[in-house]
Amino acid sequence: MNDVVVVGNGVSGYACAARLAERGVRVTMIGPGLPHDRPPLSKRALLTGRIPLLADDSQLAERGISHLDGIVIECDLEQRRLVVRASAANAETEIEAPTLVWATGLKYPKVPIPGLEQAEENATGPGLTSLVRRLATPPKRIVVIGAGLIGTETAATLAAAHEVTLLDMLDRPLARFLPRLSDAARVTLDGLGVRFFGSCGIESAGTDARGVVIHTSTHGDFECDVAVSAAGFRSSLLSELAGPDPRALTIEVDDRLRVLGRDRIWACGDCVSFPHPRWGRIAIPHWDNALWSGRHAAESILGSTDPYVREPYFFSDIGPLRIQQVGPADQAVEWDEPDQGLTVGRDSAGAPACVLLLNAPTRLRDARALVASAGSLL
Amino acid sequence: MLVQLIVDPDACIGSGECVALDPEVIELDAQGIAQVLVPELEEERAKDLCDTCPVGALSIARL
Repeated sequence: MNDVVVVGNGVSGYACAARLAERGVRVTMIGPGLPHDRPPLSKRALLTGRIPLLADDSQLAERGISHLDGIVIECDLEQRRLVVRASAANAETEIEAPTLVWATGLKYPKVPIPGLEQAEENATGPGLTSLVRRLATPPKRIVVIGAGLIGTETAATLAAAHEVTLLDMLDRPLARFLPRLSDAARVTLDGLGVRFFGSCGIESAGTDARGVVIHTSTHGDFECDVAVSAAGFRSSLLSELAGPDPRALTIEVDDRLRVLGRDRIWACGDCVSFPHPRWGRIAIPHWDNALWSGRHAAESILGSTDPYVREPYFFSDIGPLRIQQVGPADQAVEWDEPDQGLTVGRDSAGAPACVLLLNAPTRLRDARALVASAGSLL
Repeated sequence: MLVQLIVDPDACIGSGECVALDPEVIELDAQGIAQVLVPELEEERAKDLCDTCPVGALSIARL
């Protein structure tokens, strides 16, 4: 009998399970393989081929976390029963979950373009392993499809040893972020020798004597040895938790990370939206939120009534360029002049809403304090 | 219990998370790599720092 079952073994699920176990709660964590970090799979892990584990079997045992290696394929939320398909054998197990934490993050499917189902990916552990194997004898000609965070980081990392081309349907890398971030990323990619093609109409992919060929309607064909799919994400939620809108990426939780309308079910990490006191209901698909919301969910289960108020934050390393952003950029209506790598964006009342750091990691504390001080005046 | 905090400089990406959490214990050097400022610290405090590193560049050594 478990006290708490945590579904998901990424950063958030593991952070929650570890904090609960530390406090003496009997906890079972369900997820495929050993718990591992996912965001760094586009950086150091790609160079070394080593998946950054959060804990191995002995460390899980030492911490008192039971681990069920598999995925939940069904859940009965009323009866508190989960059906788990084990990774090792195609066997299904049913387990009871009197208290449940959902922390399955997001899924990163291949780009839905004919032929790209054969492309490599590095958003998952098995994907990384397969990609690294393909890159064993550099230099390779690589085409990365998708210039969001994962694709841009991946292209920058691989450029050290390979000939890399980066494609996106939008006109600039990191197009969903501030233009000044895109500009900095573009300059950095150019410096690393990555060829970027934006506004690219990718139609299909295939393999012939030239290798892998990406056909586009805008830029002709791109030939390469390896194509890497790095665009888009989808919900990981089972229909029982997804709610009425099947396109929803997140579960709505209250300020203590309890799933709305459910008893004794918590959720944390990339798969939740929570009510931020300043910004309203937000989702933050990033490592930082995964870690802190996982720990917060554990404390909430243990009886804490503190609200979860973490500011939106992300960081990205694109080769030598280090980007950090505290607060939501879309809430800033005007920006101060950059000051030693730190740029403050202000809301309509002139209060700091977002702080951008370019190659200024030592000022992260200042950035957090600026945004927090504005929030505390509300 | 007092422990020693160790930085793996090859793993550190200089995210600054550790410095933001506990600037009395750790700082970033001119290259943006974490440097521990104290010879020893409470295990709980060291564990919090290890847990906050996004790439596992911090570890604990028992004294």
